[in-house]
Amino acid sequence: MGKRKKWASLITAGLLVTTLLAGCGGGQTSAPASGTEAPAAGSTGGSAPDSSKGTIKIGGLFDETGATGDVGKPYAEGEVAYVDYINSKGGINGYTIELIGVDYAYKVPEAVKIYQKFIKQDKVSAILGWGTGDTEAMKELIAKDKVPFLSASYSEPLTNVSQHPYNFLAAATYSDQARAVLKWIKDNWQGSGNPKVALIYNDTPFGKSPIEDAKVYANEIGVDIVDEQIVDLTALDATSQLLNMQKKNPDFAIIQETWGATATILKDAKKLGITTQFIGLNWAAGEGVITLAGDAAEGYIGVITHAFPYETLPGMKEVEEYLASKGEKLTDHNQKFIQGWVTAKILLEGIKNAGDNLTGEGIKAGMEKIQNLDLGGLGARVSFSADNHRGTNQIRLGQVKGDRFEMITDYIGY
Amino acid sequence: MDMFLQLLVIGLAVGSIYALVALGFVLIYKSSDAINFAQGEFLLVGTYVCLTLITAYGIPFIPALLLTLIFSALLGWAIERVVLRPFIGEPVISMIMATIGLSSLMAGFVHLFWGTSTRVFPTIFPDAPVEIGPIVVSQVYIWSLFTVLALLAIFTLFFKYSKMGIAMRATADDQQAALSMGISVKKVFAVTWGISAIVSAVGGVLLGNINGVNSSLAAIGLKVLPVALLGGLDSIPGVIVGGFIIGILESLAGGYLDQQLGGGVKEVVPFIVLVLILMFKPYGLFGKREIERV
Repeated sequence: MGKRKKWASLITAGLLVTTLLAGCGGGQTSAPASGTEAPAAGSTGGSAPDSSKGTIKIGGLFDETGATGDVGKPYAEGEVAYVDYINSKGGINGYTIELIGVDYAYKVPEAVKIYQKFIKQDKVSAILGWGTGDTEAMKELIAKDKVPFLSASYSEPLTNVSQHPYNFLAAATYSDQARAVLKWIKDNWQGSGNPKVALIYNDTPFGKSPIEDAKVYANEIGVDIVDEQIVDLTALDATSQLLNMQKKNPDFAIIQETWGATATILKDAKKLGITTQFIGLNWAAGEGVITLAGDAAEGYIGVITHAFPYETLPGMKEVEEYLASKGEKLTDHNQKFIQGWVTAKILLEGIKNAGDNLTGEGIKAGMEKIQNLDLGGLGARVSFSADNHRGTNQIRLGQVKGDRFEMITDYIGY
Repeated sequence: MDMFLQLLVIGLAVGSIYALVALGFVLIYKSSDAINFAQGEFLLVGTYVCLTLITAYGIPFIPALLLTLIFSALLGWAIERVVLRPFIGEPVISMIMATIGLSSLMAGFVHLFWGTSTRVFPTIFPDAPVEIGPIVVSQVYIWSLFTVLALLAIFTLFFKYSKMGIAMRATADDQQAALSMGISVKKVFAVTWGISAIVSAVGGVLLGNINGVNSSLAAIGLKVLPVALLGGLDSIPGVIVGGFIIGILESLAGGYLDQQLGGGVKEVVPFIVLVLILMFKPYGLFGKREIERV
């Protein structure tokens, strides 16, 4: 009797799991990254061409399952895809590129552990990184180990070349993004007096990163920062902050959050009838905001550091060609995929410039030779030099019309 | 005054969602004296199942929700049967440890099956907010408020009058005594886990309609533990009151103190109050005070 019951429950458990498996396959509504396969941890750059000189190993710190996995996964897929594409074209200078990607689930200690493995065991030549917390935590190690590191964190302190000589930034820093937005506001302001701007951010190193710089710059150019509000990254509701903000009646509000909190802010603002023009920095922009906020996203302006797959741009051709070879289409992917693709491209350009000198110093020197790198419109042109690892300060602004961002500026800086 | 009312209503609404999720903790604690650290993952699984039924199979919301509730009940029951039953009669701490392991396991399965990208429910509650005089509230909040109140009534009656409810209370009070009185502790546990999974799924579906669904949704499971502590871990009315208190405090602190103290107070104030209250009422506002003679 007892035995039979036990079997019955085991079978039930099995059935439940099977049902789950059957159900979860299709019909994913929101689109960030849905419908694409994850690159498995440890995946490499794919089919190796005939290369005479051997392999160049690159480490990849990916967040596929952690707190920022929604944008981290497509970003990692873009990096893996570009390396695969270059290998299919014969590699670089006769070398095959091997990308050793590992999911660290946005946990800083895990990132440090994987980093150590990259350096000691895999002996990688360079690393493609991800978050602000982990990049900050490893910046001294990176300098000591002399390993060129291209992170997806655009935090301004990382541009300090004398302290962090091996960190490179592939897009405008958060501070530069905020400055470009403030300048655009000032230039396009048609009201009387100075434009009034509020800042909305979260209480983390990422959230606070551009705030002081933005205030200093606003003061310089004659924009009044009238209010600051803190909204948690996982906030269910931003009503109290928005009601407070409304008292100062700002003309614009700059948002430094990720998709979830941004959608909450936009929905609550619509509910309360607030007419302030919201402008989000790069992680607050992208397809996910429109999916999450629905109608409330209409008219929202976002900082666009990288192109959307639906844009017609010269650089999109190679992405399309690569995807076609895999039986995929551009519409299967989102902006963060392009962002990963572009970042890998910048690093491989540096490696190309390094020739056969594949030490950390050699690749660093190769990166510093990059001048005005044309990315075919997929991102702003990038330049590095021995005393500047900032890459670019250029961004575009896009405004939500219907179900997509439409560009309202070309690349602008401050 | 308008602002105060607005903050109050939003606080009540958000608090009702906290209460709903915290209810899962209370139900498990009430019957087994254990805290279920996999509460957030139960919520996640329920939400994803509902979302999958709607988007992949095109089932309308209400039938999909009902199927989800049945699924959740079976899942809760199966997990109790396979994972937790061996701990009956063992020290409570063993069961708590088992739930911590269970939470990792379930999180892993969720990543495996559904990935990590944020997904949204198709519009279920109309976007247009409800206006009550000067106050505006989203429809999903109103629904969560009603849901919580309805569940409160159902469970209060269930524990007070139904045979199973009384058996559950007896089991929580003393497993050995309940066993000797002929109560099937196994059955009580199975029913409890089933109900707890159902409540979590409802909370998850409401949350998913507010902020979208991704794996970080499970974090709310632990965020609301203080709500359960504040009300008293074994009290259903307590958990509702606790949820409302935390929700309203968050909202009012955000509205009034953030301006004076520079932001972020919203996140901290509820916990300061929690500590203060627990200093005077260590079992929470409505918790049962245990008296033991040594």
